[in-house]
Amino acid sequence: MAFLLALLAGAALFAIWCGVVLPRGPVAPRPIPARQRAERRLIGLQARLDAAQMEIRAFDFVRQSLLLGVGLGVGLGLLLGAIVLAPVGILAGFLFTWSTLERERDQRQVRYNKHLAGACDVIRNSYSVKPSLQKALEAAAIYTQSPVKEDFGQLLIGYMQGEFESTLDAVAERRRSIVFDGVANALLRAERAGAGVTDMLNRLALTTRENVAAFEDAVIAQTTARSNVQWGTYGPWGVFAVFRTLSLAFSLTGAGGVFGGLTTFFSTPAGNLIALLAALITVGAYVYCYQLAQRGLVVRRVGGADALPEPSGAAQAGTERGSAVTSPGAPMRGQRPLGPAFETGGEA
Amino acid sequence: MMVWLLALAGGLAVFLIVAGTAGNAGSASGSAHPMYRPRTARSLGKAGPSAVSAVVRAGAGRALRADAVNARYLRQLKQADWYWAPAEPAPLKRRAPFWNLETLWAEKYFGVLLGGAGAAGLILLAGMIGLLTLEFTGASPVGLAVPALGVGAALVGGLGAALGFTSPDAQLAAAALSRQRELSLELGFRIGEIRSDVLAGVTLPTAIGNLSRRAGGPFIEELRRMTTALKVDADEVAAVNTLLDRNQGNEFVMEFGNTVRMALLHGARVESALNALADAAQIRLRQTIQAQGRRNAQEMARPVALTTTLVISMLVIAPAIAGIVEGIG
Repeated sequence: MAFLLALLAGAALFAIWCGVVLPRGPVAPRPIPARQRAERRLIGLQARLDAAQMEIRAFDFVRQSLLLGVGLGVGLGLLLGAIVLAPVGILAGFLFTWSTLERERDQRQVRYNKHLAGACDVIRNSYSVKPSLQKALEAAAIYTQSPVKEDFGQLLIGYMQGEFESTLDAVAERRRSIVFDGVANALLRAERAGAGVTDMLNRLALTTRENVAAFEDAVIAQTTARSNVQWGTYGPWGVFAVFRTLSLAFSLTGAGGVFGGLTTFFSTPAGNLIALLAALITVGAYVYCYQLAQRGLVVRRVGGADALPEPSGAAQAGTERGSAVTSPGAPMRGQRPLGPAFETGGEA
Repeated sequence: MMVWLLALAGGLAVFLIVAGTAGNAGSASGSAHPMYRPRTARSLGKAGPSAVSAVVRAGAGRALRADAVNARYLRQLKQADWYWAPAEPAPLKRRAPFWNLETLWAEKYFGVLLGGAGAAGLILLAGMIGLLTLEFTGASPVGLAVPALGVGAALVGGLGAALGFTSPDAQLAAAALSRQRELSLELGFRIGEIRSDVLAGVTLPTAIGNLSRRAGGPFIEELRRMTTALKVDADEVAAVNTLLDRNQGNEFVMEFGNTVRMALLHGARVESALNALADAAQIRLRQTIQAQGRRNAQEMARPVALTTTLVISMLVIAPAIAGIVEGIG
């Protein structure tokens, strides 16, 4: 009965969360499969995931979080006997899944930037052998590793079609990497200058290496801080799990009288309240410290919405660029088309 | 009799809160001066001909007096990129809860009104409910209950008012600090891009203009503002001065701005100066990141330790105490 109530409470919490956070999808004209229906209802969540550069579908995110959350909720409920912990467990499932995805994203970005630094070296070497930007882009598209290889392949095609700037903007918007922005600007300048940019490309290779190292430092600092938060917040519950298991074990033996009160306390209303308070304090501290971990280490990326109006003298250029920025370009193989959140800002 | 007086006081307090938050919701925003145009439901920008507009006027009056404090507020408003005045080329920031001294002071006075009246009203309401319960159950309240309730309401109301008065300061300071940190970080990454442009044969103002047209963070926003100012009055040095004025105290921006100003004033070749600046910025960028990482970890230690202690106490010690109490009983 208690578990049924716990499950119901969890489902109610999830329903409220969905109702508050997620906007309704468009009304379906005819019956569609359940998964597609669910995905339509998760458009808002998908936009948030895309803005945070998480490579996961909203449906899969919810499924993974619920699987973990229900497990956690049931585990906590069983361990403590406090049914109020079931919905908190489900909430924790969402937080943990998000944290895991963030860690994966950071690792992916660091890897990408390192490959990008390698690409800059290739461009510099190629340009010093034969001063041609097209040859340098070809070399980068051949000799670098995926996914930088695909990006430079796209840039090469754009260059050959005379749409280099718009292709650069499309890739920059997709990657949303402050390191790539620097490379894109330098490549654009090299294209405009035509020749005599050897010194600039030499500098670019060095600067990119430095920027990648700085970016990695920022990611490492955040990862370390997040790890501290996780140990600090999981720790008490781990200690308590051990204590609780021991007290339950003792209660089955002759020494049960000693721990009698401890084994039943959390199934009382007062015990439920204390367990709920402890869980909420933990979740609150987790969220607060997570935000603290990235303070001063992340640059918010400003899209067109917050930008100043273009000066009248640059109206033509501004219009061209505006259309390029808001069109994310065709997705590469294995990549999802980008959601609208990529055009409005996020993290660098 | 006393109970009914208390009920009246409680009701008035509730009315004050409701009037403060929703009383002017229907005022015509189209006719308001742009300086006072509506921003959020809580903002005093919705002020119409009412008590709230008197608070706005009081705020405006206050704004003209406290010069030293206002200078700090003005600096922070600009640092947070919340500042807006009718002559500004940029539109108001959507996220900004206040955007000049008048609206800031108005927000502070509104905080006093809301925090003070709200806290005192809540205490009075709770006391009134308690006294009414005692009255209905037939128990006679202690003689000092009503004066104690009044003193309690005054004290809590004072505390609420103080919190309401200072919370916009804290909000503004946090926003300014956060944006300046982001700006320093981004500048370290972006300065190499300006150098690339200059090395490719572009003049410094053009390089800045090129960079300002790209997507980016707060540094790009500042460059956009600078470029817009440049387009308006064609005074490059004034545009740099605007950048410096808006980001006072930011060492990275000061150094960048001074280099640019020097190059513009003396018409010198800036490659070597930019090279030195970019190299120094790269070194400082890493130092800043490492220092910030350490600072974050240090600041996290307190809440994490507090949470650990609290949670362990609640999970292990609370049932033990309950067991002991039960045993004694």
